[in-house]
Parts: sequence; structure tokens; C-alpha cells
Amino acid sequence: MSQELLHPRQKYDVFARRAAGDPLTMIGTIYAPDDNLARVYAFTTYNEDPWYEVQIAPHDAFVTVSRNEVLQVADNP
Amino acid sequence: MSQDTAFSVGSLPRGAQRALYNLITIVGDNKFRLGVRYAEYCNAAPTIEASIAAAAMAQDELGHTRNLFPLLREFEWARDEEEDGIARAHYRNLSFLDQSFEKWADFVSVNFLLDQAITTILASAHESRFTALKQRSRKMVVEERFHTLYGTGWFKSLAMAGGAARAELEGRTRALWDEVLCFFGPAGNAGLQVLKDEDVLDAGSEELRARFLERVSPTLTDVGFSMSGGELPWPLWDLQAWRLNRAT
Repeated sequence: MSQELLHPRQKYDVFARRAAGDPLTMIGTIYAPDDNLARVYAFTTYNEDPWYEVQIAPHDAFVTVSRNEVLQVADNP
Repeated sequence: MSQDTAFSVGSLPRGAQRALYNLITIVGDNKFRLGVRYAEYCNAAPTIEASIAAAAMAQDELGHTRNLFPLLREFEWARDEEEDGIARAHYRNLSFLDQSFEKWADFVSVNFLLDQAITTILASAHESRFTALKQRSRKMVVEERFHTLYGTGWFKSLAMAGGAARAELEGRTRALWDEVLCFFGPAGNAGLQVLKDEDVLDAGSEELRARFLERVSPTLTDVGFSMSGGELPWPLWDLQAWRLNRAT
């Protein structure tokens, strides 16, 4: 079996809120080869609470915001 | 006492009662065995996430069995035959569930094919006049959506991986294919037909088989698996045990 199947590189961050209006909080991560399996894995891995809402996002989709990086972008527009 | 004031199993003709009893035990037994097989992968799937999902699906299947078997208490004449449906010497499950899966491709092909076959039957009870079955089937079909996502996702992943993974999956899928199609019974099967006539299910054997093919064909086409459309092995189909008699 291929390494990608055995060790999916795509990391997803998992977020949830307990009730409507609660903040969306990061509750963990999962690794999956695609979005659909990521949905299943997030649901089954973090089903310890009756979440009001669960969201996942590819970890790579996040853009880091820090003073140094803002300055770096500013210096190299 | 029936759980539904508008319908009681006892009001059905005896043949329909027997057919309904058979349907519940066949679906329940296959779910029970499926749950046991899934459970064997709660720490043996290729990734930890896949193992956790396998454990969750095992819990679902065993829970569904637990929800289905109490319906057998509705059958006055069968109360001496079954206690809770689980503690029995023989199960009416398909033959490939008798043994533990040897490889991950076994798990994935059974998850993809049989899980969806059972769901196809349960979905045909969504408007059943047997309210206790209707309510349970609706809940089970909702929970099975995750099983379908999982089975389809892994089926595509293994098929697209090529090489040995694809070859194993294709081999296992072909080995299961006929028995899963037979699971819906011979065309015009009297038991399923009488359940349709009595508005317990909304389809007979051929229609259920067609609905199943409609569910799985897009994925099979996507991955380039061309499955046999030939004659099914009905001479080997055991109508009592509801499985292929592979020893014949």
C-alpha cells in the first residue's frame, strides 16, 4: 500500500462549538487523504461531545499572522 | 403488544408475517456480523483515524442490531424461537462474513458493497406502515451516511493507488459481487413482494437490486471497475439461510 494511504500528509484542523453562539474552538487535528474521509474521521474521532457544529479546514489553508511576518511582507511586497 | 397503534404485526397475513420476520433477522444478523468484523479493525486499519472510524462503525452496526431484534417480540408465534435475537447458534449472514477479513481490501470492499446493500433495503422502509420499522430505518440510514462516505472514500483511494492495492481490491470486489446482488433475492421473490404489497417496504427484489446498482455504479465507473452483468448464481443461493452455498 502506498505511503500516502498509510500516512496521509494532509493535515486538517478540527473546530467545534458546543452551542449556537459559542465561539468556534479548535479541538484537534486529523490526517486524511481527502475532504470526505476527513469529515468521517473528524466526526468519529471527536464525537465525545454532542457538538452543535463541527468544521474542518486544511491546515495549510491558514495564513500565519505575526509581527515578524507582517513586517516581512511589508518589506517584500 | 404492537408499538404502533395503527398497525400490528398480527394483522398481516401469516405469509407476510413470516417474510417480515425473515427480513428483520436477515438484516439484523448481517449487521451483527458486519459489526463484529468492523470491530476487529478497531486497532488494525491503516491509520489511527481509520481505526477509530472502524470502531465507530462497529458500534453503529451492533447498535442497529440491538434496535432491530426487539421488533421480533411483535411476532406472537415466534416468541419461543428467539430471545433477543443475538444468542443463537446460527446466523443468517452472507458467507463472506463467516470469517475474519484477511486484508484491508476485504474490509473496504465489504464496507462499500454490503453496507450500502443493507442500507438500500432499510431505505425502502422509510414509508413503511410498520411504524416501529420505519422509525428505526430512518435513524439507521442517517447514521449509515458516514459508513458510505468512509467506504466510498477508501474504495476510491485503494483503486486509484494502483498496483497491488488496486488488484487486491478488484479481486475482492469481484468475489463478493454476485452474493451481494443475490442478497436482494431472486426476481419476484415472494417474501419481499408480499412486504411490498403490504406496504411494509416500497420495493421488491428487482427494484431493490436496481437501486443498489444505482448507488454503487458511479464509484465503480469512476475507478474503472467493470462488474459482471451476467446471470446470478441462483442454483447456489440458499433461500433458507439467505446466502450463497459455496460448498455446493
